[in-house]
Amino acid sequence: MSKNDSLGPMPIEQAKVLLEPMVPTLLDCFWQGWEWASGWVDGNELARTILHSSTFSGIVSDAFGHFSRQPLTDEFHARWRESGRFRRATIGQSLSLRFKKLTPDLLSMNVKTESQRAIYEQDEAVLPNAIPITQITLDYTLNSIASNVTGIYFTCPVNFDQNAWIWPIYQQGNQQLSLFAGEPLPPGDVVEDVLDVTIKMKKRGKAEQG
Amino acid sequence: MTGELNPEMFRLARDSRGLTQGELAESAGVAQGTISKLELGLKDVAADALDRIANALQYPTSFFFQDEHYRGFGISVIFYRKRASTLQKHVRRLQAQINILRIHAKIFLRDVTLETPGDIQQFDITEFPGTPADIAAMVRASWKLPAGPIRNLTGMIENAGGLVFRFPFGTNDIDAISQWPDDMSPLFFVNTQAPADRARFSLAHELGHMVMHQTVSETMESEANQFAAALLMPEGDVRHQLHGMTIEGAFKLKPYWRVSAASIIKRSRDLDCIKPNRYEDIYRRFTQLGYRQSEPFEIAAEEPLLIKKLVESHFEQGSFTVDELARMTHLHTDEFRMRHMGHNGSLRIAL
Repeated sequence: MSKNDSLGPMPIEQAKVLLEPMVPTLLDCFWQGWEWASGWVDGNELARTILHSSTFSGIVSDAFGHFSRQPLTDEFHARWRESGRFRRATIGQSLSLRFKKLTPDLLSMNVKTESQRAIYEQDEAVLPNAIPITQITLDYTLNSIASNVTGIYFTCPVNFDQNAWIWPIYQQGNQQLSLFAGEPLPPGDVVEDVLDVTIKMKKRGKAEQG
Repeated sequence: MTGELNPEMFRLARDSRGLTQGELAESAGVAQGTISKLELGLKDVAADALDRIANALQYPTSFFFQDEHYRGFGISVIFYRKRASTLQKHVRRLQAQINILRIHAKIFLRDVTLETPGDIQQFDITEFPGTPADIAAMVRASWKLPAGPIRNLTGMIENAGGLVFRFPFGTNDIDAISQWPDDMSPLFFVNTQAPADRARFSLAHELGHMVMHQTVSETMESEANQFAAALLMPEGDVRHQLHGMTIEGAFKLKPYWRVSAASIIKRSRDLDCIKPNRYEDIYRRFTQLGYRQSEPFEIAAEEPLLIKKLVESHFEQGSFTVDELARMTHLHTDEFRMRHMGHNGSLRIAL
């Protein structure tokens, strides 16, 4: 076993190429998880009182992980590693994806253990000569009362307090970030002339029209 | 003048001008009973009285000799947005306008062949083993449409051989009407008084009727709405954009899909991308903001081009003059220009 080499995490441009095809599926699965979790506590005042917002966030993350497992496996051949609630999907050879809630500063919230440090610092042990794996987190932010999702992001940490890059794929009130990821925004509202009909007179000349 | 007076054409002419029998009689200087009997086919009319009636109605006398029928709207208007507030006078006038345009379409199509890249296939919903959304997908496939929005639905319908007319209906209660007359292309009539996004959805709704419904049923309106939503916003293309939908999000999607924000929010609910209680919250706020009556960020209207091209081909290939085409369509020249050449007669004419 050896430590990840010192090349650093995958640059955002390279990661986007791998992640972009997954955006619709991941958003779909995230909202499935969110709807399931929020539907569960909606109208349940006792649940709202008992559950700490971080507990609720954990439920959302768990649900997201649950709903994304099958589609990511089927569509993107994801391979899964689980350790308790900690679940990661390896996509291809070089990218590992996990699901978390972010702080308002767009940093993941984790107990600072050695194994977590290795992930945050992109320093997880890999097999000799293996391609270094970049650890990416799909995260979301909530409003102050944890009633609304305010953003969904890919983040690539370099340590507990810093990200190498952040790619927002959904922000409340600015959905186009994710909706048109990777494609140009539609042109201004001009109706394109698409008419492609050829008209031929059967009889030429007005005399025959009667 | 050859042929026989056609009683149906008297009523068609009068309804198209929005006149009662009494108003027409007074304007033409004839007895109301004369008008009534003419419309029932019970009376001949003297040449000078016929001229006075024609003048009052602003049609040439040839209008009354057309061998045509005054038909009803067809099945698409039986339930659709027909409200009690829609005055019968407006409805009759609209019905007459549509009959006149149908007759004109028949005349314009009589001596031409149309080569179109597609067609409008029919899939009877009562026999088709699938949903309206499945039929919408088949229509998109048959038109070779790529995934995503239909940038110009009017143009696509015209490319499939449909004729689209756009004019003010005189009422806000009906956005669009369709008919498929025997031995003719399907006809679509779109109300210019409706916002362009709503008119586009209504046009898709009418296409749904033409494709799916040969007979009337209680579910036909709901089916046509499902068809329209799936045609304009296919589930596979739009679903991932609808989760967590907000009013702001719907308005951001509006210019992309070229449908109303209201229909985007409704699509979010119908595809279970938002919970019913969230939909109700959004809908309530949408109403409070006054967007149900008038949505901001209106999209550009789709202008039909095929009917103009048909008229143009008569000028260019058939060497017709405006006066001759006006005579063919039983209109005075000024009205022909206004109806079929734009308000200022801006159509290119090879004289």
